[in-house]
Amino acid sequence: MLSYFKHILKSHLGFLIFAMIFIPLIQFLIIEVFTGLETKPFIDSVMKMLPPQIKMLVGDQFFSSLSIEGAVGFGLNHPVVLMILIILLTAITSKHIAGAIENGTMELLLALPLKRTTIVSRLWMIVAFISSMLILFAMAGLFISVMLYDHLNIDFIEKTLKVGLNLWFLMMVFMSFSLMISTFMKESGRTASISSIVILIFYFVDMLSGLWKPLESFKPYNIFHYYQPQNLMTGQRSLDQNLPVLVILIFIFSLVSHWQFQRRDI
Amino acid sequence: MSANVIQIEQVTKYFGRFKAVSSVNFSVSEGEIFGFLGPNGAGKTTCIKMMLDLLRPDAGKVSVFGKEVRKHSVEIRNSTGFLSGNFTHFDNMTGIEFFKFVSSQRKISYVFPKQLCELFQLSFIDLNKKMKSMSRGMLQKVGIMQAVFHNPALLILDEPTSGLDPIMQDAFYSLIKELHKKGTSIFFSSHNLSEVEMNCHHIAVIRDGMIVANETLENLKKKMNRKLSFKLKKHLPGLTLTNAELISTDGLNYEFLIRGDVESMLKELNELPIHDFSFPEPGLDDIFMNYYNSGLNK
Repeated sequence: MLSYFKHILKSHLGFLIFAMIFIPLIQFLIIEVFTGLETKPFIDSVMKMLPPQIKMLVGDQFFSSLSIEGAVGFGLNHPVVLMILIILLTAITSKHIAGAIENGTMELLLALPLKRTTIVSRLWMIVAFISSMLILFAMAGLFISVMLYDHLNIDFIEKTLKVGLNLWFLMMVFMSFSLMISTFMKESGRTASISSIVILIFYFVDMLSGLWKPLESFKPYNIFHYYQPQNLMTGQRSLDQNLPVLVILIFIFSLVSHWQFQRRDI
Repeated sequence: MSANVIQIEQVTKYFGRFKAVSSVNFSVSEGEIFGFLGPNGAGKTTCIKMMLDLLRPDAGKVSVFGKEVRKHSVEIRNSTGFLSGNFTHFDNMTGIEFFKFVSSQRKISYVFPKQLCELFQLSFIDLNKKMKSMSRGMLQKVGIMQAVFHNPALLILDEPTSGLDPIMQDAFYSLIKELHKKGTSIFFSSHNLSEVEMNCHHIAVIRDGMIVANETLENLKKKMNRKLSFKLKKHLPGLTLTNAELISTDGLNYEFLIRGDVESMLKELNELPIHDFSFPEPGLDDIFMNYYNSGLNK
């Protein structure tokens, strides 16, 4: 397990280091910018002057980010942060299953006395670990920033940890989904593209459903509906509403991955 | 009679609509060196992959060490060494790291493979290089070493000498002989007919996904039509021989294709005024080309 973990870390070291620096840094900067400038009264007065259609276009996220909790939620839901995490996790899973089949290293692994389920399970665990490390780094960035520019208290830490946990489960859904696609494919590039495109479509549909009424009824069918950090931070939504759906999806995708990898030709 | 380490029974494999192997049967006995011959795309690698549970047959049964591959693949692979036809590697590992990785996966303690390194003329420095910077020949040596360094009971090698220079090919043959002496069963596919002829006891020829020959080399040679050439001291037109088909003659030089028993033919030859005579034993090249060409002519 450890040697395989080392191998995966080495394969993605550059991107991992970048993510480990960039994600906490962006969290730090968002809080720093928000707390360092007296923007709230100014934005409040501007918002009051805006027509309702424009307010709708700007969205709830923006309003909620006018508090420190909202800023934290905004930071952990920043498109760039999500994009980095999604790219990294889909890249790892697709490279080490579909990519390994494509370049022949899977043959090498399966010539060793390893069960196919072991290969899938340990990749799952390694990516889960990497993902939790990245989210913990992001949390660290947030906490340091809040500690420096605002007051860090237990309630705030608890709320932030809940968002972090929700984000981790969301990332596990994406990783399990990418793993499942990988077990059906033979090319890592195509696998990563398919996984990313599907996730991106859900992201855009989620964005559009906030702007376009007819799409609102589809919200519960969108995975991003189960990750609303601003609402979690402001107490408008609880983890109980999000985690069961995410856990069920992780379970289904992981189960299908194991089943398909077990039966497929290499 | 020794037990079969590999048993392939009525195995068929499709890739989509393409039938890659069709009702293939053969077995490898314990302690035997088995050569698997066939042109490109004949189904050699497909058969090999089925022995390791990398591919699942659509029909038939594959057993290794008497156990069905699908159900006991981990157990089988624990006692098997494998070198794929296109040995791939983990780019970011050095040779040493790779051996450590393989050792950890096989749950054996890592020991620097000194003897193998000496045999293949590799130093610690060579093995400490990143595998992506290794030459094709060096990678092939590492591939062979990883297949044998845990002393497997069965060795499955897909074109093991490709990329090796003649000196290293000899080193490989001596390794094969050494392992055979220790009782390792060896199955290898090859394009190189002379190496199969030199090392193998039993040979199977696969063509278009079907086994067209499966014999000991000795039996294969016996079954082959042999070419007899001789020159007479004087013209003897219209000469015929028992069990022999005339290929060409000018009345003085004769060429016959001999089929079956040669005893009566030799008696007839003894009575002829022969000046020069040639009756070579067929090589594996002849045998292979015979099976290959007979397929093309169909």
